[in-house]
Amino acid sequence: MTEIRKYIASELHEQLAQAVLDLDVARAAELAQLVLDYRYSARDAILNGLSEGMRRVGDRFCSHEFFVPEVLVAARAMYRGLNLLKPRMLEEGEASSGYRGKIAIAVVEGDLHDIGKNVVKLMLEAEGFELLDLGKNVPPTVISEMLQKDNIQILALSTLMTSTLAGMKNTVAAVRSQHPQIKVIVGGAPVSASFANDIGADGTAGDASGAVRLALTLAGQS
Amino acid sequence: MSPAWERFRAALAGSGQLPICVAPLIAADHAAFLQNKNLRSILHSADELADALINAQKRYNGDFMIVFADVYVEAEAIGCRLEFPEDAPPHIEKTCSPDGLRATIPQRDGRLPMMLAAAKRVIAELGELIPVFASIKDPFSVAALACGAEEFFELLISQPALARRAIEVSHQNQLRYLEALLEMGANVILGAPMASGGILGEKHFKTFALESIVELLSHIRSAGRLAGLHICGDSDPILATISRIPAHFVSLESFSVERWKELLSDGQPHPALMGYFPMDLLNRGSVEQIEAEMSRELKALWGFPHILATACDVPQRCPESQVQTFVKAARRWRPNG
Repeated sequence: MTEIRKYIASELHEQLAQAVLDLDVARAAELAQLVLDYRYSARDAILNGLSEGMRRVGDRFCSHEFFVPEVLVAARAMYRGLNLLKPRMLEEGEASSGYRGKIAIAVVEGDLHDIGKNVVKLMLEAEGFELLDLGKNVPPTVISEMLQKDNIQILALSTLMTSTLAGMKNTVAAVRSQHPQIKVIVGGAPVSASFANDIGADGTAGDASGAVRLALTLAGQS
Repeated sequence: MSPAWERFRAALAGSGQLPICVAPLIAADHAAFLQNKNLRSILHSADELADALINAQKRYNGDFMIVFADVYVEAEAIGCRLEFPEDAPPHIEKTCSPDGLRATIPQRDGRLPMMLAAAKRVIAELGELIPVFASIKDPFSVAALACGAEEFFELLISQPALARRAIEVSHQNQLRYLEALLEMGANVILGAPMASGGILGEKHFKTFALESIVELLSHIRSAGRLAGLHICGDSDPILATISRIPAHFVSLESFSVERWKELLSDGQPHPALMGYFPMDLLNRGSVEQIEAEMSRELKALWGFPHILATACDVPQRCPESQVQTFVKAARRWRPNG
């Protein structure tokens, strides 16, 4: 990539992040279309633009500058861009990687926040993993049951709230006892490396890129 | 004046009378559970609802009670369609368009006539013994529940004028419903499950919810009745506003007690505080844990106008013994105990 294209890509990413932060749904779609029209990486635009915007929204939510209405509109802006970029990103993934294996992904019981899970899912798909999306607010028993049905190598669990960390711990314990061969990765705003270690997970990552790297390592593909 | 009424009045005044004023907030679901009765049936019959709530009141012997079926009564009347499982609270099957909310007549639409009849019976049977509060929702919450909460929250930013029109329809409906309740002698608690500080923040709360809440509360007071406001979730972002609201009491689920006490130190009139016993502890705590938490809460607010109550309505299948423990512990509590 030439320096000028790198510069423009970086500007587009920043503007995408800002569009999400500004709750500007139309602008997010417009910028995503520019990424497609000028054939910049859809994957980078999602990671460094849309996801970065949602991370900033999350910061404002934590500091009580934003509340639920703002987060919902920001999520709509992110999804509008994401839906435009997703087909291209999957093409990019197919071009660069083969089949990596199968991952089940879920938001733990008691938590309905699935934006983070959806972004990680998309990134893993782009990397060549096949995803089984178990949804949000999923009880440990349902997760364990679903893991019997397919040849799952990795389970990815997400939560946004501290109040559901105990549920994550219970889920990991249930999966460990019934499916010891399956690797478990955990993530979400309140999940730290020490928490992941304490509950017996195989690893955690602070963002979607990290989750992809971790999954590749655990699948023996890094 | 009955002992319960006396305790309630004393608690509103913050006079430090013992035993303290206490009640669990009981809705139809827990009342049905206590009698092992079909909830769906109770939610459709004034007599069954009144019987179940009166039975719960007699079992727990709280110092006040609410007449509350489920959160969707007014949303259903205004136009959304509900699904009623046999033994669980209803949920929305089909939401309304925000520009399609209909004007309701409380004597005619949905389950509003049933609620009026149930409130009338409970007031007739228990109103002289204890304060009975008919529960209605604030107009913002009714509109949000009827239209689908997430979609409605987005409207606040994307189409605020449309959101305002929906809230205004809901406001006029709630005024008529309130008037019908006041005519039968009810005290009223306004429930705000969606107009919550943790959901809306101060700006949206003030812009979209506050005006209606203040008007309804003022209307209740001007009729000479007791006016309460219950706000679900985290109230810290709107605590200063809530502390000046024209209610006799505000029932809060989660907030900073220290900040509340600071807000009360300005010499101005403020509502009494109702709440805020944690639901998890009520549901599963040991006797010792319940007593310890209650003592911590009561000592923190001793000398301030405070009515001890559960932070929200008691969960449907909360064991009866847990609620009994809560009420008995409050009856025994002494500030130096």
